[in-house]
Amino acid sequence: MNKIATSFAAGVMALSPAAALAAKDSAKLLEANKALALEAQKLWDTGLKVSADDILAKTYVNHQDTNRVSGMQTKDRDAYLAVIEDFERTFSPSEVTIHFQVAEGDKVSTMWSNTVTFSGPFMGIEPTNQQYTYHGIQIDRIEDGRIVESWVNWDKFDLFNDLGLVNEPVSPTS
Amino acid sequence: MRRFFMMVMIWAICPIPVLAQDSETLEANKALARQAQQMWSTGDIATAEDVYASAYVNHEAADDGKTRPVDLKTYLAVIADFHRSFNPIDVTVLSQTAEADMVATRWQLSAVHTGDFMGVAATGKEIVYGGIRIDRIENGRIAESWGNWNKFGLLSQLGLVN
Repeated sequence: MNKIATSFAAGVMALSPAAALAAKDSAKLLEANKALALEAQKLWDTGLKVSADDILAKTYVNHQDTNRVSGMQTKDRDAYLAVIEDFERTFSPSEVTIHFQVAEGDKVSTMWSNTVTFSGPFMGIEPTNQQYTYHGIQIDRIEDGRIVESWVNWDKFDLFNDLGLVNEPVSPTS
Repeated sequence: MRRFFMMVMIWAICPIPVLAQDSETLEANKALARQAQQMWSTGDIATAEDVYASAYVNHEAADDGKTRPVDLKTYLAVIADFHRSFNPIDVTVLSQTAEADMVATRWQLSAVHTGDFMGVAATGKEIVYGGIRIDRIENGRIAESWGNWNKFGLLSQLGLVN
């Protein structure tokens, strides 16, 4: 009995630091991944300067299901960064808020909102300098400290509706 | 030798229950989030109380930049309405991430437009759109969700927006 108790104590002692370290390492990694996903959202914030090289892998791809055609549209890193540049010409300032994040394994899901001022011409309409807020969720997959792939959904309908770019659905019965 | 064996046994066994409990909860939470998505496929809202807390709140983003909370009864009515306009409906879960009491689920829905929808009579068109939903789980039920989906895509595939 005594022997067993001793073995147990020794076993627990041997195990605890190892298990604690492993848990700590994995928690640390998740926190690092969350921080990186947060940096990625800062790319859309005109008041914050971050370097895409520190955030996105060279082979980065961005998948969005926000378009009028069915299915995902995929952009490579250069095409994605060009979208951000275009966006800044139209919506500045743009301020990003992170609401919460859910991290597991190599993925981080981030719920965000963006408050923008309509400051430049967009799809044939003149800027109004009005402020709009829209929400989105982005899932990032991280490999070797860089984001390699993201999937995004955001309120494109609501932003376009606010800007007057959507013809309100007309009911034939009304 | 025997003592060494015991130590190895304890070392090998001990972490399992501790880690398993955590990952079991995460897997159960993921399964619950998938069940909630499945309800969109089947339209079987009678089983809702197995999935949702009675005080469930669904936060859908509204066009004023805020989120507009919807209660369980209203949310289930949206599912039932959708089933009057589309049949069959198929929801595929594409990925999930779970941490603590939260699960993020990325999904894609395909359906055939077989009944009136927002004033448009059945077109027989197949529509496809996707979204991401984050569920918060409390006592084995979904207590709260935040979602974002391709409303623009759905409405434009049906010719409801230009």
